[in-house]
Amino acid sequence: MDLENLNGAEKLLLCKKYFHLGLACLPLVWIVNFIWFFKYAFKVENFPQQDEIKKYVIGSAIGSIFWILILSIWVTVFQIFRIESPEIMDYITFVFPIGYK
Amino acid sequence: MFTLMYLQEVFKSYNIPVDYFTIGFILWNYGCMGMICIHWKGPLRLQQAYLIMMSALMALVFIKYLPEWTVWTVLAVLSIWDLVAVLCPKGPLRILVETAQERNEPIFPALIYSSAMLYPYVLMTEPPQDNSGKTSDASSHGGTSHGESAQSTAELIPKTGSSQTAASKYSKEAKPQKSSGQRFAPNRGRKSPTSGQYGALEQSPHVDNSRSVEAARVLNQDETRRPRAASNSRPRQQVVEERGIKLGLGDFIFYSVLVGKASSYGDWNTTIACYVAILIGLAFTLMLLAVWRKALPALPFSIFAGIVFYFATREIITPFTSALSIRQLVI
Repeated sequence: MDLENLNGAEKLLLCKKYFHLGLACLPLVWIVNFIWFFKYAFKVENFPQQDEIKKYVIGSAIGSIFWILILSIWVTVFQIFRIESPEIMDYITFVFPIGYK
Repeated sequence: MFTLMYLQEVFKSYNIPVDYFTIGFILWNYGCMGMICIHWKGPLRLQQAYLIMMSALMALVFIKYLPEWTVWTVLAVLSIWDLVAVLCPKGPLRILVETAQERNEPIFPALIYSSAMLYPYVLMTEPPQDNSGKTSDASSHGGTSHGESAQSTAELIPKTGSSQTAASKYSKEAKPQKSSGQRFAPNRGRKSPTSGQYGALEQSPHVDNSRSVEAARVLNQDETRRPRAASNSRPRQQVVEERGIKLGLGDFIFYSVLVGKASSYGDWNTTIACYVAILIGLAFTLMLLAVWRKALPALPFSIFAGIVFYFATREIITPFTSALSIRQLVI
């Protein structure tokens, strides 16, 4: 799957599709979208759909940053409160740390 | 699922607590991305990375949960079966290959079944017109021809459904199956009418088949746009045809199992010897492939070489070198 094969319109379509896919709580898809199309959105200058691709790429970037923030906040909250209110947190803990021997 | 187990082990060993949400989220992302990459379109490297990860995980599972001798016997038997199945005219794998070729389907889609997808990992080799270096371009062909071949392969399913060892190359779980341990040069002759992009394209210079298997896979993308290639003047098809050698994923799994088993004894000599043996087997197979230009089983040579080296090293070399260093002899 090589991006250079596709012409501008197809690239746009692909970018768009990736963007929509990422809307299903999938920041990874957005990150990939961003990285993959970055070159075409910003570095290569000359094709007509570039503005739209730029839009989508920036959208994906913002989206992924948003999710990363949320994830970090949640993890921090979880780690801090795990100790304080053990019952609820135990319920959602996936891996229990074993004490040191 | 294997990812889950792996992640669990990793986190346990680091003593980090992880909650269900985080794990669920990560897994969801990883899984979705994987599906997208492999079955649909996605950046090439990512696809390769996913395939490698899945193969490695599977190999890990094998190593961990199978008793000792089972692994070795399975490997040996598989190589023999692979050899037989691909080369004999009645072998199921050969039928698959030939059916795909007869119908002139672009990229070996015959292994894409309607129930589970195939993840062939594709290693492309430039058909060297003048230059005989075996550089490979890695590209992938995913489910692009999934739809069209779905019905054509339906009849092949019962045939291959019977080969079900644990290490079988056909689908076991809901996971996509891996292609059998064969590789073949998607014959240029067959493909040139459909793709029109073959020609004396230059090889990418930095690709060298003697590198590790992993590295050898990460290669350039399609060779269709090498500007200096003379064949670029040919009209381009709409869908770029990928060609080259395809290496089944099952192959990778077994190589990994072999090396993993070897390394689990904690002896570096053995591990490295096995690794080298596999590489040698791979190079040899590729050479043969260039000679014969047919579907060849990729497994036997490497696995036999690997097994032989493994046992030999374990039994002979290790005591030898220990004795040498104990007595401080230098040869």
